[in-house]
Amino acid sequence: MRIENPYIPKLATIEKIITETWDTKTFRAVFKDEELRESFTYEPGQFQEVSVFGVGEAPFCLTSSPTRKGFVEFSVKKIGSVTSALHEIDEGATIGIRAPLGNWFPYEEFKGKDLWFIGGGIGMAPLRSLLNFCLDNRKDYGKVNIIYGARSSGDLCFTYEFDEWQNSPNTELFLTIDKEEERWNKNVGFVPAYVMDLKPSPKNAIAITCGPPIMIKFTLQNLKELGFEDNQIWTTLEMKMKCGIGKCGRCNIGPKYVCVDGPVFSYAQLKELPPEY
Amino acid sequence: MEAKVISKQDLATWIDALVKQYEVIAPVTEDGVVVFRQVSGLSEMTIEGMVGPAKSLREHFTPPTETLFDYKLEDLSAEVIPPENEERHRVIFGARACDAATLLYVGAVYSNVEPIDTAYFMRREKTYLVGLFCNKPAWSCFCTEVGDFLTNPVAMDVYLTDLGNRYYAEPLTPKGEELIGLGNFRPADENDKVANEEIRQKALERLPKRAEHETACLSYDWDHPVWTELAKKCLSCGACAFLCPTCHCFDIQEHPKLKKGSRYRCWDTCQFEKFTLMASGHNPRETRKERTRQRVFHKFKYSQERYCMLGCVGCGRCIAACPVNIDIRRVLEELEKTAVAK
Ligand SMILES: Cc1cc2nc3c(=O)[nH]c(=O)nc-3n(C[C@H](O)[C@H](O)[C@H](O)COP(=O)(O)OP(=O)(O)OC[C@H]3O[C@@H](n4cnc5c(N)ncnc54)[C@H](O)[C@@H]3O)c2cc1C
Ligand code: SF4
Ligand code: SF4
Ligand code: FES
Repeated sequence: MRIENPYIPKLATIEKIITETWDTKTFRAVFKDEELRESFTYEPGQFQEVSVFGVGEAPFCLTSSPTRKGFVEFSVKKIGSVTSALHEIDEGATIGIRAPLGNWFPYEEFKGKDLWFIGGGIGMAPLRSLLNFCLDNRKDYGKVNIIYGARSSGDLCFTYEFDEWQNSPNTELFLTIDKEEERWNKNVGFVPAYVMDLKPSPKNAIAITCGPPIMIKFTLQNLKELGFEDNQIWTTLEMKMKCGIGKCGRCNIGPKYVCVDGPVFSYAQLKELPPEY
Repeated sequence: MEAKVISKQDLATWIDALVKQYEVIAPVTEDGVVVFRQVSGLSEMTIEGMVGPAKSLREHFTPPTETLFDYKLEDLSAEVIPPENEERHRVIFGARACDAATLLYVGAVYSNVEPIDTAYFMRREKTYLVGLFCNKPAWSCFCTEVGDFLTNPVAMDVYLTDLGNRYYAEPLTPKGEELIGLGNFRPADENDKVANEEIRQKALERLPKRAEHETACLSYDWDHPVWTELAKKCLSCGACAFLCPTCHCFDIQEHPKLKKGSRYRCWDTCQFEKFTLMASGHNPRETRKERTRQRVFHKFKYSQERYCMLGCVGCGRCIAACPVNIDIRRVLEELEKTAVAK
């Protein structure tokens, strides 16, 4: 049993801040403790509790891939107190991190399969970790397809990585925005509808989706219609959290705590749970 | 281990001996209700004819607010200062069987996934329990419906029964024998044993029989009409949860000052609307219907699925405290009617 106080974060320095969109920034942080920086590892899909001292702590998924070592990245949409405080800070600032927390995508089970990443808005953040992980282990997976949508072109995150994704072998990026825009030559329409246009084949495939609840709901319906089985569809959930370690009791869906039994669930697992998320 | 007996005249000197070595926490009357507080002698205690303590032992294991750490800020850097550990060992005197049983449950919650809650277990390790049998269970008590820990106590070191002019003492652990060794005890004789049995029997007669909540609860009805009924009555005041010994949910907040501050946790409850309200405005348990269902399901269904035990020790505090007379026993009855019919 670990006897460390589990609520004490490890100190880290913000090394780099990328402004993704008008309300979203990506932070790259490095642990101050050199030994920890070297030894720290995590799995795609896991999350962390980030502390801004003087304001509070909030959970964010690790958007970086564990294949890229020495730092962690997380993307933050400005929405309340901690997220606003993060948007205020500068490079060089000290934050606290408790990580890695939660479960992860069963990427071993995904080996040899075609992957469909289906992300909406900030929901691309957790998918990016697994996506880059798969691209860094390219030979382990079949065709990698990325469907990524946002309200407008200005709301798309990680645009600086689009080339890398597109240019990876046997990988295709499908972008979509909700409304017509000048000089936009990609798809226009909501993500679930675009999924129907692209008609992914469920044969030897896995779909991984994350985005606003309404997008997930219709994407699920459409994937089912295309013949995807419940255990071929994976998602990552968001619930109000505090402790992140299964103690404070607020992130439960029935008997499961999203912070320790999740945030990653297959649709088959979700169907076993009460509809309270 | 051999049962012993101590006369009531000798109780004060035993307590004095305990106080010398330990921090002793015992029932006292505060503002007209019985609560557990640190005492320096028997004279401060409310132990004779003690009715059910209004508050459980919860605050002595997880204080209502507890500092997780302090921090200092310096330009771009920060320093985190962990809290100091409490050093002294404690004896909780007069603990009720239900409150002791709670420790097993909360212990499971705080240790079933790593990392464990160190602050909680450090307090537990340093605490010894001298329990006291309930001669006169209250109208709201139903511990015997949910377990047999009243007669087969758990998590205690000594179990006392008030036999009128003397206390019957069963040491349950080596530590319990050691604690008894500090008092003027004599071995229990046949008379004492018979008297002890009689008193236990009498108390049991006042209490309900063991109910099969375990099996019934697992097939509870998610859409049962009782939830709408409860939602109409419930005020979301949280009294049930704050007095409940097994409720363990907390919030984490910050006391910020200019260059330093502290992060603390404080009791919170699923009965409050903001408990699950997310920054986006989405709230999975928006109405009282969902929230009252969460409290009952958590204790009787989810806890079984997660920790293989019931999350209720039948102390009845939620029943006694509810301003609109919501009685969890009646809720269970309603639920079990349909559960059995299924
Ligand atoms: C597993 C997980 C991964 C997440 N990943 C990301 C991500 O990559 N990027 C991103 O922008 N957002 C993410 N979120 C949502 C993010 O945690 C909330 O937006 C954030 O907590 C809001 O905090 P606040 O202090 O700004 O808001 P306030 O409304 O001021 O909230 C106060 C506190 O309540 C808690 N809280 C409020 N809303 C949420 C919520 N939706 N989820 C969890 N706790 C909440 C937090 O402790 C927060 O500090 C994730 C949530 C979870 C559960
Ligand atoms: S739910 Fe009520 S009866 Fe059960 S342990 Fe909690 S306060 Fe006591
Ligand atoms: S009943 Fe509610 S407040 Fe009590 S432990 Fe369960 S979730 Fe927490
Ligand atoms: S966040 Fe505390 S139990 Fe999940």
